[in-house]
Amino acid sequence: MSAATTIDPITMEILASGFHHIAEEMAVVEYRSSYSPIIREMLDFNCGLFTGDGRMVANSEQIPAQLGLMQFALEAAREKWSDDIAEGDAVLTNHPYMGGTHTPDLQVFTPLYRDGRIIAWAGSIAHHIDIGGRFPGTESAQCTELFQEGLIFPAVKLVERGTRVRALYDLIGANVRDPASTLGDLDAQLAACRRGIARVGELADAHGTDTVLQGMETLLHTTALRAEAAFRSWPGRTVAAEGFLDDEGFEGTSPVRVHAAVHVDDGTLVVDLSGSSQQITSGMNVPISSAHAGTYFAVRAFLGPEVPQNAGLTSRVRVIAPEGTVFNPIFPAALSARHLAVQRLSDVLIEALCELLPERSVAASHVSFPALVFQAVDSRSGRLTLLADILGGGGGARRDAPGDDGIDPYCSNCAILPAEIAELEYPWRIERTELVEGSGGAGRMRGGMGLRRDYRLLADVSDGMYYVEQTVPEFAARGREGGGAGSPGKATVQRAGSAEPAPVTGKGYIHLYRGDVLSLVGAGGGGFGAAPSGDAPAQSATIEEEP
Amino acid sequence: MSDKRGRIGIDVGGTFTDAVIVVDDGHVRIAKVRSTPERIEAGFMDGLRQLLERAGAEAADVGYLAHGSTVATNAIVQRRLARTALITNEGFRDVLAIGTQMRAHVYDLWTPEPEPIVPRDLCLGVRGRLDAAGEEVEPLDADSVRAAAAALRDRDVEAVAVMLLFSFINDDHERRVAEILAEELPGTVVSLSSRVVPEFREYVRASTTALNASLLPLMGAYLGAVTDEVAGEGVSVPLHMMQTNGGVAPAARARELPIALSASGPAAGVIGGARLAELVGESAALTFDMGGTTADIGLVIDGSPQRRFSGEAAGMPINLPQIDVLCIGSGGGSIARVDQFGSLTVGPASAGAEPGPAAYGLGGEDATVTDAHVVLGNLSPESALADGVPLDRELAERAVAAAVGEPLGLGVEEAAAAILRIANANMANALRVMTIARGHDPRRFALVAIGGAGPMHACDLADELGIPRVVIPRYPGVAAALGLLATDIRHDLRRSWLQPTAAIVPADLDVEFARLEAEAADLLNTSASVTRSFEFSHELDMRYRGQAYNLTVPFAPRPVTAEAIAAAEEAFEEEHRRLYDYTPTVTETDIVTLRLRALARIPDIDWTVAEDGRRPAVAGTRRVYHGGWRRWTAAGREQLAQDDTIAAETIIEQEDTTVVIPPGWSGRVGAAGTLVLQRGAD
Repeated sequence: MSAATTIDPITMEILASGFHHIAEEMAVVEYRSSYSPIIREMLDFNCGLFTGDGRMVANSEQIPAQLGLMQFALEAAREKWSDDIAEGDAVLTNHPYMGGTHTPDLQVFTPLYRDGRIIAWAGSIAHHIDIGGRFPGTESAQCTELFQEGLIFPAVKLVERGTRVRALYDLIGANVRDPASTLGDLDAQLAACRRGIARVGELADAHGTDTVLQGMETLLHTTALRAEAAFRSWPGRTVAAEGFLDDEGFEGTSPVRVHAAVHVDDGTLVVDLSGSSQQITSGMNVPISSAHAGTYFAVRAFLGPEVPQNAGLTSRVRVIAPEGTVFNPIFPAALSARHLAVQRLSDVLIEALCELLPERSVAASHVSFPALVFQAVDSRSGRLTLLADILGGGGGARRDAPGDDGIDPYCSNCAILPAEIAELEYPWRIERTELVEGSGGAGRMRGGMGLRRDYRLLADVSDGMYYVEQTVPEFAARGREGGGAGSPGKATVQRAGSAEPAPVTGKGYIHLYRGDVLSLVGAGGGGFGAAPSGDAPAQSATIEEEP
Repeated sequence: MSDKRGRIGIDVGGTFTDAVIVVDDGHVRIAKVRSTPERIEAGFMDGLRQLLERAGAEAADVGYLAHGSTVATNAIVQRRLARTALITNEGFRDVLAIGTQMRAHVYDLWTPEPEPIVPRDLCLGVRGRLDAAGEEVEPLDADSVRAAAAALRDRDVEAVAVMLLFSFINDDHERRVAEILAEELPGTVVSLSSRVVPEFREYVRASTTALNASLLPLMGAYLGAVTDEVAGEGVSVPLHMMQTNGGVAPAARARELPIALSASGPAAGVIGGARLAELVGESAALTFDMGGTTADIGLVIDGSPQRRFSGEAAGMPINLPQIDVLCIGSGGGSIARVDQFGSLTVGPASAGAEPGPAAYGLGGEDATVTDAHVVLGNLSPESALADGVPLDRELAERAVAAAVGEPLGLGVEEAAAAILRIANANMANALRVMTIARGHDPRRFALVAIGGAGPMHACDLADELGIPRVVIPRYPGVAAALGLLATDIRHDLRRSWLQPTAAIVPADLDVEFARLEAEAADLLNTSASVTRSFEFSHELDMRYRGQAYNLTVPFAPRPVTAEAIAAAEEAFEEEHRRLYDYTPTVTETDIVTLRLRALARIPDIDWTVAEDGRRPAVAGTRRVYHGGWRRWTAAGREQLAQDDTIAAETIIEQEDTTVVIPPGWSGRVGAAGTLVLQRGAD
């Protein structure tokens, strides 16, 4: 095909679908050959394809928490290196104040050269199990400055002209708790990026470089037009909503306010987070890139599948977050546990958009995000293991259907670790994994049920971090149109030999000893519509539990 | 094989039942009868009798009878499943409701997640627990099992699935539960996870076992009825059923493991396509089976259809080996639309059989792929389709112009060509997923076109991917039924056995494989009246320590030696490099699962074709649009004889399909009436 001045719609469709398939193929390479359960089981990663000047063309759509944010890190990397990027280079970055997210999210970018210039980039972002720092798993609400959050890579070269930078690999290997996983996952990320640029090269061979470049531009342009048309069709008024995180991450601290005001301005959606709290002294701040991801999730839910995720869409969404607030903290504020506030941001934005478009109203899903990372030596192998798991809670009820039970909602969509894998590969016994009766908000349609999982330690000692957000009843998942709120989440520890579990703070770093049981409970979802008067809430049939 | 004459394959689909018979003079005869959804065995018997009559054979002459059925598939799709309960460990009764906890529609807050097939109030926990080594932590509490049985007694439960943690290592507790259920709930069928899926990951084991249990009553009744009718007709050989794994198994086995039939339809097409390609020497093939609403793509390497180890049914995962088939919503009925931004899409929405494409004249107004073919002259109004529907060119033109031509400012021919380009681009992407994404170069394969619509698109698709040759069997429309006769008896056994490779004692591994072989020999013996040519092949699922996705590599026959284990590890490393282009920093490996494939070979068939010659020859020319109107040759397939050559710009018509040979392609008639087309050879 010759380099036409305007691309015909059929070639365009073929290229657009080709870009998408390349990103998906990169993702397959990555997760099938990755090591840490956060990537391979929970799919906490993403692959993307970018224009030569760093705008996102297509992404692989695993976890929405990383939606559309790689272009921030790529932009910073391109700015740093300017023209000093060669064929065969790969850049590694995770710096939260250079467009990155939190430090465990390592991003790798590789350029595709044609005729002496970069025509595209392939990128991969993945949440590594541990990147060093104060706490096992790196991530914790209880970090108080960035320097406790492990290794920081300010867009450094991981590979130079095809040769790995040995010093960097040695440093990584020496500073993380599970070097085999971290180095293995970096291998997988590089393999995914190499596959991505090889495939774009093949597209350029088949259709001509100019046609492919024009295809990228046309795709971004059409997407922007689609987004603009959708936003223009929405009512012009400003809507606002707010919600709170339980605390700043330490017992006894104040709730953190998340506030969003939304309006459409000349075909662009403006999301103003200025009413949110000032930045806090804990790991629960949100890097600006993640504030965008939380926003993009809510926007895409209301736009529907006709508008793909790329720089065309994001050019029509503007996020305002003043410096020094929780969604745009100042270096070196800690932010490794940013996900809690990102989920709350999506929740608040969905509430605001439900008010703007009331016919699409849906009750709130839980944002309790029970999660843990604990290290312990497994006596069967003599090795140090890092158990990581993420639990679901209740989804919000709809006008015509109850909420989903036991889901990881909004920006997150992680799988639960199979109990049999937990017991085969880690010194733990899973004593129960069950839905919590009555935890969904009451209503004509009930909210989804929360999830409880009990972990018994089979090793002598273990230390680690856990969190359960949304433990305060007044911040529970809200119902809509008369529906009730879901029940809050909670965490308990039953020490070996004691008769009763004891409640513990929602976010903690603790030591456990042989026979102790840690129990995490995800919150329920909100109900929809008032329950029929006089009746009991429309819960599912209750079953007698054995005593 | 018995020395009797007739070998019969009968494939029952939703609309038609395809039947083929091969008699010992090597002649193939086909029959197509209407399926009878209310009493499926009636259509089956109709096909059987017609075949016998055509071949001049008696029921007593039948030496082999294989059956492909969509009964299980349709029961799953339509949720006509038995009322099923699940018994599991206390504290885990929500294993099906929780699933993986992942959402199917990430950005859709309004659509509920699919409901599990077992309602929550029929999921019950019992006390008793094994640890990760299969050792008892807490003995099974028989009273808690009796209490669960009592709770189910008045709930009209027809089937019970049992999934206990770590039963894939030690099935004592599951077997004990089954014994108690047999006492407490006599007559209720029970399915044990340790029998159905002896592999770790409790949710997938529970969902596969629950689906299996839910099919037991229906499939037991259906297979019982067919077996009885076939015997009543005078056929003396045991009925064999096509399975999802690409092998057949005796109906008696299928009655215990009906989930193994859940996606057997597309599998038979891939096997048939693979076998028919081999007739003309093509052992590396992509099978492309395009019908009215979907296109199924299979991958054949060294003559063997490729497999995978998991799939999905009723929104729930199934962990069973299956032929790797990619199904996409692209068929003759796929609808073309242009949205307000000028973007043209084709499918996955389909006009179905009613109202069908606009050209059918049954009231359909949407422009479909079939309409595009009518506009361009690939399908001729003079030649009705297989199901006897006449085609109306004017209606097709009107629909294509309105749906695509006007919005894009294209003439009706360009609009029709654009529909085909988009449909082909979608299918080409699916072919890329089956090849490139799995590490294979499509240019090394032949494309085998089957199904009613496959031979119209095959050459264009081959052009998109650089595929050099297209193979079109004599009867593309009944390839699945032919596939039944080319399918070996096959049982896939496996067992999770998670061990670091470096620590394995060969004698321990040998004991495990010996156990699997004994089990397999019992299964194969049930087919002894058909064939006694048994063979075992061994495989290991391996991974780098810390990875979750295994690769399957071949393993030497017993006795197990240290050298064989080392060779398997080497093969694994090689395969990992091939798929992912790198050798990882971490090099320790684990063995995860042991696999044994037990085959009983069905003797090969001489595929010489009998010509029914039921249609008069329609020779001549026809106007076809391919970048411009030109006069192409039009021929009837029955006019072609072996070694005839075919030039570019030819349309070949036959009762079950139409073949389009565009510019740049030419071919000749090979063995068994198979058309072999080549690019760039004219």
